[in-house]
Amino acid sequence: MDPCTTFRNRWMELALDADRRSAWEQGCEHLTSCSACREWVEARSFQVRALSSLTRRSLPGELSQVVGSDLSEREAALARVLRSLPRMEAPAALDRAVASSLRSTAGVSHTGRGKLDPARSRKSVRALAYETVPPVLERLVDEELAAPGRHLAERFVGGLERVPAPAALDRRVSGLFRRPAPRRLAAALAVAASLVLVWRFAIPREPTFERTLRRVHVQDPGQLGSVARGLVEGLGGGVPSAVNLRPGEER
Amino acid sequence: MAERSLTPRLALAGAALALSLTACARREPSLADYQAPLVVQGANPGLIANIQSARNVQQRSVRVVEIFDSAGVQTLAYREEFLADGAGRFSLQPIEALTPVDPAWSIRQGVRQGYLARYRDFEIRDTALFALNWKLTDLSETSTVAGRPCSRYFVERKSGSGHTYLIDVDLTTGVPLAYEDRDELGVLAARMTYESFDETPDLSGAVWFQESVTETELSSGSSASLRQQVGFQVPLPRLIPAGYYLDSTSSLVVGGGQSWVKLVFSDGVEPLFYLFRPLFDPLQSTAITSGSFPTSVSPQTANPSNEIFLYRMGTAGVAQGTFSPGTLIAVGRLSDATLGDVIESALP
Repeated sequence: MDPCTTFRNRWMELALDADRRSAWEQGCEHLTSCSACREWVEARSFQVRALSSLTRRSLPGELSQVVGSDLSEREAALARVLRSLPRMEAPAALDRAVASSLRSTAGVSHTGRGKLDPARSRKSVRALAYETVPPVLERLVDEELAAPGRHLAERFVGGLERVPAPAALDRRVSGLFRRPAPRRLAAALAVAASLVLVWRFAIPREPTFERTLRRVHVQDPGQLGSVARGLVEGLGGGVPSAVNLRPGEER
Repeated sequence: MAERSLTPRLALAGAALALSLTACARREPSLADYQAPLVVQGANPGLIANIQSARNVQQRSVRVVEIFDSAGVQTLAYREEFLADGAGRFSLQPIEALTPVDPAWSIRQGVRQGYLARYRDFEIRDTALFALNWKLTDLSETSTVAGRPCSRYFVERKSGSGHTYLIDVDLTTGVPLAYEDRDELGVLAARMTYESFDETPDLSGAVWFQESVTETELSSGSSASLRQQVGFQVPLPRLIPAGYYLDSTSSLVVGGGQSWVKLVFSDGVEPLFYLFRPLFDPLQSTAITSGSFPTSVSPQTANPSNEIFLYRMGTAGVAQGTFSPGTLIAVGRLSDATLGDVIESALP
């Protein structure tokens, strides 16, 4: 890369950081020796100043909501379309080519009409050497997919330069926590906490029922009461065709 | 120095712990928690007004109904006659089954006509909630059903989940004359098609549907007021699927004098029924006391268990369980897991 291009690329990297750019320009020999680059810097400096003086406009409040809603709808619609696509059969020529390739390495034979023997194909594919994904990678990807926004924010925040707190703030916070709490306030809080605990846990309340519930799928609607049966059959389109309804009691 | 500051710190920590425990205590739900938001944005009243409930339009019609399983295989098909006077009275009687059925099918289908006419077919049950939860798209296509020109619409949830409907709406009356109901995977779940539609019928000999249960509407006030109205505490579910809000609260007395409390939720199209019957019926027993659940079980009632029974019929599912408070039922076009969660979330 020629020195002018190198210089201009570096200048653009520092364009918005006036202090660092100025310090860098002072020690830059190329800027002193190249008149073309000096003119270029003058023109770009004018543009940077003009752009920096523009008023920053904030986004309308509802824009992010509208964009989020639109993306969500598009994603759902796309998922529905993808799910509705029919699965395509691989062309017979591809099957033959794969069989030929496998035969040369694992001795797989055709079952006729260009189709592979599925059992032998599976065996041959299993015999291939492959690398497994490290479990930790899978876990990290799962975690990121579960909360992509949080992970993006964490990465962004993690990349920011850590700014030390002003010494004055540090002194004020330290003083606040070192100061012992007044004994009277602490005693009052302790009494209040005790009363709350007594009210919540010691005074008898309505009985609660400990349970471990099991969900059971039934095939026979006779196991339900007539009210549940009537509602589900009405909502579902009618009584089923070939079930043995029991005249059993209401549950 | 360290010893002197330890006591206040411990006291502060104890107070914080007590307040945290109190804050984490489970709050009993209230009927007010189920109320729909008052302001709904995004409504399209023009399009929505084009679609009417079949029960509100006078007609004598013949329809074919098909129900499919989760693999898209037809499990039940039948032809039926529907009569409506446009003022609330209706009759829905099966004509013939098009798939194998047991001999009593026709009788039982007739018994269910109330539920079938009200809840089986696609219908906009609440325009505000429909606008909140659903998207109605005019496909700008015309079709002909039962010899009548129709406009075709696509109806889907804004969230992209749940069932979708492709409906052909009669240009004259606004009645959906055909619809296809597809599940989340796009598999056909149900289909209804009008074969004939007479909007000026002779209804002089019609035998209208008569309610077989006594239903009394209850005021949807606080949980305490609900208890006062029915005489027992009603465990209310803490988990209601997103987009569903309380539509009505009523008490039912069904065959045998059983008392039930019924809460009907809706997302604008799909209903969700939640019913509760106490183990001790206050009309038959004095054992129940205000403010507490019964602690023993009457020999005349079902035994409490630790099981939730799940069953599916076509596009709908039911979850039912009998526990110490009583019998709880949840019915809707929702997954088994969701219906089970509704029941479980109501238990103390």
